[in-house]
Order: sequence, then structure tokens, then C-alpha cells
Amino acid sequence: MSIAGMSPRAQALSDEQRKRVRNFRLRVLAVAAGLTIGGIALAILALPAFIIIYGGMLPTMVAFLVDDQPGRYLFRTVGVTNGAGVIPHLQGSFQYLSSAGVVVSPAGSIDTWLGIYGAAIGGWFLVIVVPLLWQMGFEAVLQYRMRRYEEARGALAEEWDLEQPDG
Amino acid sequence: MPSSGSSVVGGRYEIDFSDRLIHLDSPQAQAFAVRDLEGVSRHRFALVLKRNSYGRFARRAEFGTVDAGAMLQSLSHGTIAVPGVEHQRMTLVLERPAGGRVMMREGKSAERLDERAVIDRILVPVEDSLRSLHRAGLTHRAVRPDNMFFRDQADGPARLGECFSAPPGFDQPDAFEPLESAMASPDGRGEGTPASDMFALGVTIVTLLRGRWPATSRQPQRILRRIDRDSYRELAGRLSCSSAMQELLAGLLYDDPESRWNVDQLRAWLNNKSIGRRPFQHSKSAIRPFKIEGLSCSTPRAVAFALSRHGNAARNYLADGHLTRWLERSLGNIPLADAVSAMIGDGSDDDAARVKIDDKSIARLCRILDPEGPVYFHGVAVMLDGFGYAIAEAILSGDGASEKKLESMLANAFPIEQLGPELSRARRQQIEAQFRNYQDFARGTAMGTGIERCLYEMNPGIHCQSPLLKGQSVSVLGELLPALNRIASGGEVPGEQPRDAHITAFLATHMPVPEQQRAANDISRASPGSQDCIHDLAYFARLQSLSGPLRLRNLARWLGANLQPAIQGFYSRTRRERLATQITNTVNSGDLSALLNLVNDRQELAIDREEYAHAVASHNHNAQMAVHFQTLFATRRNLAQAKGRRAAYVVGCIMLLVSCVAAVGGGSL
Repeated sequence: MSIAGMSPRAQALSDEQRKRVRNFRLRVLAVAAGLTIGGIALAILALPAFIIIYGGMLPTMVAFLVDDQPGRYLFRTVGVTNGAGVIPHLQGSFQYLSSAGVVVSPAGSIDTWLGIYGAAIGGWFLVIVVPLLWQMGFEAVLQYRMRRYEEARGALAEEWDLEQPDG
Repeated sequence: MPSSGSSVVGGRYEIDFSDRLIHLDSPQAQAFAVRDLEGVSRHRFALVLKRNSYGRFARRAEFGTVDAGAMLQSLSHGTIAVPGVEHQRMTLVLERPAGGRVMMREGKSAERLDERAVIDRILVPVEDSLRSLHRAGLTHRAVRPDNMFFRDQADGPARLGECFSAPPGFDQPDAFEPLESAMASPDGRGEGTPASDMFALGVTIVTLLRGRWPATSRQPQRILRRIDRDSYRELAGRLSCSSAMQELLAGLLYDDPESRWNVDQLRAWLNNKSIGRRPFQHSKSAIRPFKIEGLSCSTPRAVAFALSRHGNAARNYLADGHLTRWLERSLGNIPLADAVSAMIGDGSDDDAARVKIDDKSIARLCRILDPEGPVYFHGVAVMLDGFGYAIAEAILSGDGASEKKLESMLANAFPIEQLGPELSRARRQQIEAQFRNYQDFARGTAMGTGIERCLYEMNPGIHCQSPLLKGQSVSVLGELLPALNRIASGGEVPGEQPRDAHITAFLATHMPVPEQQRAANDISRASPGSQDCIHDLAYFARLQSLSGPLRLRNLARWLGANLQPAIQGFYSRTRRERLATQITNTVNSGDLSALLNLVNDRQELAIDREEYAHAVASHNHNAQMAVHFQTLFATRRNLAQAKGRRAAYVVGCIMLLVSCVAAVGGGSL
């Protein structure tokens, strides 16, 4: 059924977008379902690991929710740095399978949480600072190269009586 | 003219301007005493031309090779600065005669000479001089009583005077000239032939025997009478003399130059051998005269002469066919009538077919009527061999009107409109080829053509008349560059170009053709923008290599100042500055060829062009790149965000990788 006032091509694109959004939602739903089921299983089998993974990866969840930029690099960067903070503590967490070991496991240590959230904050910081540094470096390179070409143009113009560059 | 001071001619003869020798004056020159610096002889005097004229000096060298017996010997000539006079003047140093003139121009002589005295004191020595000259192919053209001097105070044999201070026949009263040249303007009478001298000798004898000069008033009527009656009857008809003398005068005064006596016949007569008297051949006269403005004409020659004087008044007669009818009916010369009719178109009923009777038509008509006479145009009458002198006199005296008329005569090829029947086929072809050349020059519009070129072609020995060379004497190619160098010797470079129409024509006439061609090649190889400014340099450089001198610093400075367009022909600023410096250095060396090579270096020019093309391409490329980077700079924020976020992600991945490796390896971070 066609939408009134829209061309068939526009209508076709809209259908494709709608399909993609639907797929995405399905994938999110599947991941959420998987995480929920996996989380329940993990909490029953190894509670400290469950706390480390699900508690430690919360910044990634937040980033996932707030990042609407193309490429979703905030989510990706926070995710990998957050993961880099969690992975060193997993091996120690799986040594305590029962709930009795939570206090003595890495999940009970303040250092663990400082490391994990510090890594996530570091990821966030990277996403903010690296583009700024990139811009500064890029501007410097561009200005250097523009100056070189302008100087070359000026020299040629003076030597051969050609049109002088502005400024 | 000056009253004091001195100048030296030929490095030997010092002219004392304070010592005038009025009794030795020529009509066109003043006589001054001369001191021979080498002290060989005191019997010298100098004739300094009264006006800027070239006279007949070009022929002096030829006369110098001939032992002309009793003729006054010319010892040297040159141009000298005369105090108080702007132009340099031609000056002639002559042997000083001991006796006085045979007869003064004004008034009667002390007593007229008798036949014996004329023979012994005049004819014998003059015949000797003329014989030498005529054998050498030369003519005197100034044989008249006031140009003869007695050899000593005792009034012995006479000597012929000089013939260089004026163009040939210039100072001759018209009675002393054969009919053809008597009708011509004085400066256009031409070299003539030996027969011209013999005629003048005949009239000289008549004058001396009669004791008075022939009449000079009412010239047109006298000439028409000579045409009508013949010169002998008109000039010597009433002279009472012996029959032998009559025979001599009749022989010398034939109007037909072929029948006129030559020096051999004169010698035979002097040796008392009878030559015999040929009947006078007289042109057929008309039954009724053709009258033009009161001038009564009985022959076509007379009509041509009258037409040349009253052409304006005769236009109507001509257009209405009066002349054609007179030629047909009164003269009975049908071919001539047909030729005239064809020329002016008076036989046609169609008005459009009739030629407008202007000065050119009258000049052509006169040539048809009298092909042996002078070439007439607008009041000027010149013999075929008199154009060189006529042009020289017109230009040197600054007579612009005559100059234009002569140029027009040559440009319209009037001289070869009709040539005399007496000329051989080869001579006719030679004259035609010669005047076709002059016609091309006269019609030319480029610098160096025109009347100036004709002047130098016809008078190879004449000094270059360029206003630039005022005060300088340049008659041969080798003198030109030093003269220009002297002109530029002041502090400032002269404002004008160092080459004008006269110098160009002088160069074109005197410079060998291969050298001119090489100079033209030099110019054609130059870049189009600089061809004009290196034109002078190319010719002068060739001339310097041909005739030196090696160093011409002032002229090089002058030419170098005009080379700016050639320098600007190079695109590269560095090259231009380097070239300007090199020109300055080369100018100091005075080598014009080196200067030419600098500004006309084709290899350097090609490199400059090639580099310029590369420079333009690079300039454009750089401009494009600059625009590209400016565009990038404008979008730097967005680019930095995109690239920076990706970089942050990569850094994060590296951290994750390190973390994994550390976790698997069991180490702690």
C-alpha cells in the first residue's frame, strides 16, 4: 500500500529504513534477552563474576544509550576501555563460585571498581580529547602546507610576472 | 661666409678664410688662398662651395687618373667646417692659374679675340684637354669663356677651368648647351656626352670671336627659335668669320649629336685638313605652327617644350584633340598623332575613355613628343642622366617641392615612358632596368626607400645627408659608425633612434648584399616583440664586423638604451636583470656583435620560454592546492571529530588487547 504524496522510490527507501530499524530492534531485543538469561545463569553459577561483568560494564550500557552519533564511537571506545578494565579481574572472580566468596573476591575490592570505572572514564576521556588533539594537529599540518604553496606561488609570480596570490 | 679662420683639406692644404681671391671665384664657389703645409708649391687656391651642394665631386677621382693637359689640376677635395656656417662645405683645392680669365661673365672682354688667337690660344690647348677626357669616357660640361684661364700673365695659351663645383652643365648659359640639355633644368642637365663639350666649345668660339656673351633673356623663345632654325644659324648665323671657321662652327654646332664633330675631327681641322660639311638634318616642320600661350611651335619637340611650361593652359587644346589634328594635318606625322591620341583618348566619342589631362598625362605626352629631350614634370625638366644630380641638389638645398616632383617622376617611371630611337637595344634595356629599380625605390614605403634611396643609388659618392650626421662627413660605409659614435659622445644618449631614412638608405646602398641578408636573418630570428628594437643593432653590428672599428662605446651605449623591449622579451625576472647587467658590461666593451648576441640568444630565449611554461603550470597547480587546503581547513572540525573518534576507538582497542594479553599471561597491570 503506497503512502499518499510519496514517489515509489521514496516509498521504497522508507520501507528499507523501516526494515533496518526493525532488524536493529530485534537484535537489541535478542542481545538484551541473551544478557538477561546469561546474567541469571551467571549469577547462579558464579556470583562474583556476575557482579564484575554486569556491574563493571554499566558505563558501556550508559554509553550505548547516550551515543547517537554516526559510527557510535563513544559507545565503542567506552566499551573496549571498559572491557580492558574488566578482563583482568575475571579470572579471579571465577575462583569464587558461591555467594560466600563475594566479599573476598575481586568484586569486594574497591581497587577493582576504581580500575574498571577508571578505564571506562578513560575511554570517555579519549573520545573527548583525541578529536581535539587531532584537530590541533590537523590545523597545524594544513597551515604549514598552505603556507608552503602560497610561498611557492608568490615566488613564481615574482619571478615570472604572474598573478600574485592574495595577501 | 667667413672673414677669418682656417681649415685644412686633405691634411695638407690650409685654407685661409681671411684671404679672398674674388677673381678666381666660380659661380657656385668662393675662392680663398691656400697654404701648402708640405710647402711644395705656393700656386694653389681653394674653392669653397657657397651652399650645401655636392656639385660633381663624385667624379673627381676619375678625373685625377687622367692627364687632362692644360686643364687646371685639382689637387684635393673634402668637406670642411666653415666658420659661421652650419653645414660643412665641399671644398676643392686647385692649381692656381697665373693669368686671368679669358672672358669675364659680366660685360665684354677687353677686346675680342681674332680667329688666329682663338685657334692658337684656345682651341689647341682645349682640344688637348678634351681629347684626354673624352678618351677616358669623361665629359667636362663646363666649357665656357669664363671657365678658361690664361696660362701666364702674358696672355698665352688658355687652360680649362674646373668642373666639380657644380653639377654638369649647371653654370652653363643655355646657349652653351645642346638643345636637349638646354631645355632641361640647370641641375638636371646630366653628364651628357663628349658631343656636349664640343657644342659648348663651338659656342665659346662664337662668344670669343664676337666679344660678347649670347643673350640670356626670353629663354623659351630663344630655345624655340633654335629648334625651329637649328642652333648653328641661331647662335653663329650672323657671325662674320672665315669660311674655314664657319666650317668648324657648323661642325661643332650640329644639333644632331651623331653628326657633331668630335675631337678627332677638330684635330684634323686644326691640321688644316678639310672635314667637309654635312648638310644640316632638320626635323620636319609643320605647315602651320601650333601655338601654346603665345609660343609658336613647329616641331613635336617644340610642342613638348612649350607644354612643359604652359601645361595648365594647354589642357583644353589637348582634350579637344587640337594637338592630334595638328600632328596629323599640319605635320603629317600619323604614327605620332595615333600615339598621342591613344595616350589622351581624344579620338574616342566616349567621355569616359578620355584620360583626365593632369600633370602626369602632360609629362607622358612630352615623352612621346620628344623622347630624346628631358623628362618634364610640373616645371622640372631632367635629362635621363641628370636625375642623380637633380635629386642631390633638391635634397641638399632643402627644396622639398622639387624633391617631391622628382620622386613622383621616378615613381611613375616617366623617364622610360618613351626612350629615344637612337638608343641601342642593349642600352635601352639597361636604362629600363635601371629606372624600374628607381621606380621600386621611389614607390617603397619602408624606411630606406623613397627619394633617399634613389639619392644614394644614383650618387654613390655623396655624403650621407642624415640630419643626425650634421657636421659629420660620411661618404663611405666605414665612416658611418665612427660618426654615430662621435654624436653619442656627450653625457646624454641622444633621444632619437640612431638610424633614420637617410642612414637606412645609405646602408642599403653601400652595404654588401650578403651582409644585409645576414642582418635581416638576425632580426628574423629574434622574438617578434624585440625585432624592431634590435633592427638597428643588427645592421650596425654587421657593419662593425665588416668595417670596424672594434670599440664603439658611445654608439653601443646609444643602442643599448633602446634595447629595453628586447630585455622585456624574456619572462624571467632574474634573466632580465642578468641581461641588463650584461648589456651594461658589454656596452662598455663597445662590441656591437656581442651586444646583439646577448639580446638575440635564441637558445636562452627557448629555455626562458620552456621554463615559463613550467612556471605557469606550477603556479596553477599551487593555486589549486592552496584552494584544496583552504577547503580542508574550513571543514577541519567535522574531519577532526570523525577521525579523532576513530583514533580514540583504536587506542581503546589497543588498551583492550594489552589487557587481554596481560590477563592471559597472568601478569598484573
